[in-house]
Amino acid sequence: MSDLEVRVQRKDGEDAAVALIGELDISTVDRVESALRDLEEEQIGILLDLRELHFIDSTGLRMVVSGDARARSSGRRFAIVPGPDRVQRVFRVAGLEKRLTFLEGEMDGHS
Amino acid sequence: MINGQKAGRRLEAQYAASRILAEAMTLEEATPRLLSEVGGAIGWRVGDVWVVDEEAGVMRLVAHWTDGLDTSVFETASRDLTFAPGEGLPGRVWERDEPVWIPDVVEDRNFPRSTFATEAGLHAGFSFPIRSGGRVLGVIEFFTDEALEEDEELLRAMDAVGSQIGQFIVRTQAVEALRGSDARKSAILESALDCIMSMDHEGRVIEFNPAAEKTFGYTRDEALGKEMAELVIPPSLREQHRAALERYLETGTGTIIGRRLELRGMRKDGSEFPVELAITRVDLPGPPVFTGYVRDITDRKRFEQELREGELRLRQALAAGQMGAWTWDIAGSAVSWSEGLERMHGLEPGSFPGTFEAFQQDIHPEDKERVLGAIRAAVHEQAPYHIQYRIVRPDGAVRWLEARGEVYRDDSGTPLRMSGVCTDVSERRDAEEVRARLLEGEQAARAQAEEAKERLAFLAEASRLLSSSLNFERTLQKLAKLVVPRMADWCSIDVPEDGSIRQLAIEHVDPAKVQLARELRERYPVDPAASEGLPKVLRTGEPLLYPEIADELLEQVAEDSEHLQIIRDLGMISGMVVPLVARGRVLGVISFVSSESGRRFDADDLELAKDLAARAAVAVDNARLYQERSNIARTLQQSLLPPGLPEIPGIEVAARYQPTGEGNQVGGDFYDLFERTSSDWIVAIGDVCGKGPDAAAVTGLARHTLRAAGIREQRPSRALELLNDALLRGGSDRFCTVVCGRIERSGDRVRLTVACGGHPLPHVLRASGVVEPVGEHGTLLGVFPDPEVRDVTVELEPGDAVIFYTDGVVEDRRPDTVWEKRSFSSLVQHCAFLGSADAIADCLEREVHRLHPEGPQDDIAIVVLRVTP
Repeated sequence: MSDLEVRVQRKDGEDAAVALIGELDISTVDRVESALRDLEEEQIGILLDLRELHFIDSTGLRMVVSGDARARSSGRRFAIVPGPDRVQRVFRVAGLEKRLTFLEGEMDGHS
Repeated sequence: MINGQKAGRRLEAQYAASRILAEAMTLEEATPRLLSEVGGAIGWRVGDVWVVDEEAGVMRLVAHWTDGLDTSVFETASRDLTFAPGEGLPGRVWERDEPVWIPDVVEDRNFPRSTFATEAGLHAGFSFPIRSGGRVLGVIEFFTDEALEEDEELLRAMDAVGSQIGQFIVRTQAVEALRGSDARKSAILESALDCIMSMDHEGRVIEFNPAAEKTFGYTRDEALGKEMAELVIPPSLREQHRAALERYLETGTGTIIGRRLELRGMRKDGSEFPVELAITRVDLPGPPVFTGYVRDITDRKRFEQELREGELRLRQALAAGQMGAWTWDIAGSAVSWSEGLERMHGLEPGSFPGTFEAFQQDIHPEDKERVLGAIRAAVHEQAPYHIQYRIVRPDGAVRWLEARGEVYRDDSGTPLRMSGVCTDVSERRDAEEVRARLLEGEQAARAQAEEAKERLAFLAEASRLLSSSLNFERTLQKLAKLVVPRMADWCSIDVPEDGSIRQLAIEHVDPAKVQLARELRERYPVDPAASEGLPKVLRTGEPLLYPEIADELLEQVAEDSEHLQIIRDLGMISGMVVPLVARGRVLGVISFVSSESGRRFDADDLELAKDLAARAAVAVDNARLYQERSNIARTLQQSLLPPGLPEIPGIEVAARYQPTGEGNQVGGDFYDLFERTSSDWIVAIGDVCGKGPDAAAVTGLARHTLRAAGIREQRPSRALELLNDALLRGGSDRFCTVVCGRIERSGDRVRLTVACGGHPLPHVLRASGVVEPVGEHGTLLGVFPDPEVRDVTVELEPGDAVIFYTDGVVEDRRPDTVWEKRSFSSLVQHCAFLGSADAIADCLEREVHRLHPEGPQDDIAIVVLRVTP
């Protein structure tokens, strides 16, 4: 069984930060998906924080991609704080590094 | 007379002797009866009793008996004779102290009476001693009218009678002696009352002997002239005394004269003490004078009191200990019982007949031998007498008694008397019995509890076994193994299949027997329509219990006599057949049979079997469902793989495919290899995200699209673009990552052109051992309308290999490993210098399994192409 913790931080009038801790795969995507959709309904921008994610598979990838696609189509912000190398590699191999919005450097509050 | 008869007669004779001696008081009384009854019992005609005259040193005749023969002359002669030791038959017996037999007295040289015997017609004779205390007191002889050979048994029996008589004599003598001494004592007592006092008609002391002085403490002088009553009679009794005296004087009669009275006397110091008093009237002319004989019986009274108290205590002890006391006069065979013992035997006190026979009668028939044996042992072998036995009361109640006793002997060791106590130990024995039964019950209960625990443990193990695998055939076979031999000697599991019955499992401890059973089944397949046993259970879904497998059942099942013989030889004793039922369907049948163990199945066993079958049925049902789904999935899966790998001249091909996860979930990986033209081929490998039918559909779409596009397009990148369009059109939001390559051969040269859409890059493994990835990652397909896909071309030399793979190969979920170390390149490096595509593929597979010891989490697909050197 994979383990995933989803931490949602919200501040009025700002993007919601969704931190994923653990593994994002076929068994844990649903939770994240529903968290994202809840936020989408409120038309809030999403900042996906992958710094403590240590695994992502194609299902996880798909969830991120579709989240990004929905945001694009509704004009919301969808940015990703890069995770460790093993996670980023998956994005790299899939050719998604340029297609998704990855933030650089440390997170130091919302901009 | 035949032996049995003889033995019976001997016994009769002994009983007669015992009876007579028990009842008689004197030898004179007993003798005639002994002769007639004993003689009659043994069937002899004439009997004599001779007695030793110690003083004269000879034996004399004291009694004679005949049962009809005219022996008057013989008798007269005998009475006139005396025999010295060794003389004649009596003398011989006396001298030797042992029985003597004369087959024919007429012929005997030491039979002085032979003439008279001839006259009376007597021939055979024998004699035995009456002995006691090691002395011969007399002899008894018997004669009959025919000559007979010595009968040892008879002699022995008569010898015993002789001893009995001897004991009887001793007893009677003792009794007489006692009586004599009693009489003598009485006389002494009568004549020697110590104090002698006389008084006149006015009651005044006129005589006061020294003993009286001592006893009462008055001197003669002090006593003379004083009223007796005042001196020696306690105040409370004086008036009585005076009144009695007056009465006597008036009437001439009284109750106190000439009788021994027990009264209280008084000493000078006023202390009272018990006395025995006898008053006589002195016969003298003139006014009466009375003499009183007084004895201080303080001691005696005290003794009597102690005795009484002792008796009381004994009685109390007997009562408290619920004991009875008994005494058996061995010589006379009289038996006396205490009241307690009588009551113990259910008799009214005083109603016990007092005979040894009466004692025997009450003993429980099963214990009689034992008791008599113990008594015999005590009397003859000085064994301690301590025994428990049952008695039967008049009302039929059975009680257990515990008896203890001792044998009292005279100086020569002859047993005189046996006495002891009995306790009713029925309650104790009952309690012991109850305790023993309770213990048994407890042990049985504990055994039952152990059995129950064992059964639960067995079921738990079975459940674990059943849930351990989804391969139901293998599971059922393992189940049969678990059952044998714990539950049964044989276990077989059968399932219905296409109208017949297939044996899925058969188990027995002995594999040779298993083989036999299998062959038997093959030769004589089970008839599904049979009316008993396995087929019946299969049809009805109801279990069957055969506590005893009767031959009739075997006959019903057997097809011919040979078959019958074989199954008879299996030695089946007991059986159970239970159905495996799930969701209303009978999936199969489990049969349990016992043979060697001798076990007989009962209702409890059937319950266990049913429980086991229920669990197995659920497991089987689940497994079957799963298998069906798996079959579907597998079928689906298979359709997504190339039907076969084409032969490419000069190029070896090896493919490995391992979908992971649940068997009923179709994998998302795919690969393909097909001929494009006579000189080029397309190879593709891809990964659709996710699993399940949806992913499978996309996988199918991808593969088929690639086939079409690959054949049409020159460049692999174009094929991928077309696939991307198709995926976007398809509507599913599933994407896939793909590598598509084109292999061209021209002469010796092999060229590979590769385009990649978001997929791990294929790696080239050069013959030199160098490993290098080829291509660019590009963008995954089915998400963006404008994926980046670019063609890259490499040349392959003989011995070079190219390896395509999906990312399940290198997937690693562990958070702390460093990626670089686990890259595909390093894996491929491990497989350098192998001599074939298959070898490389195998090597890679092994490496994958090494990386994922618990099994890979994701699908794995590997395609290896190697240019033959």
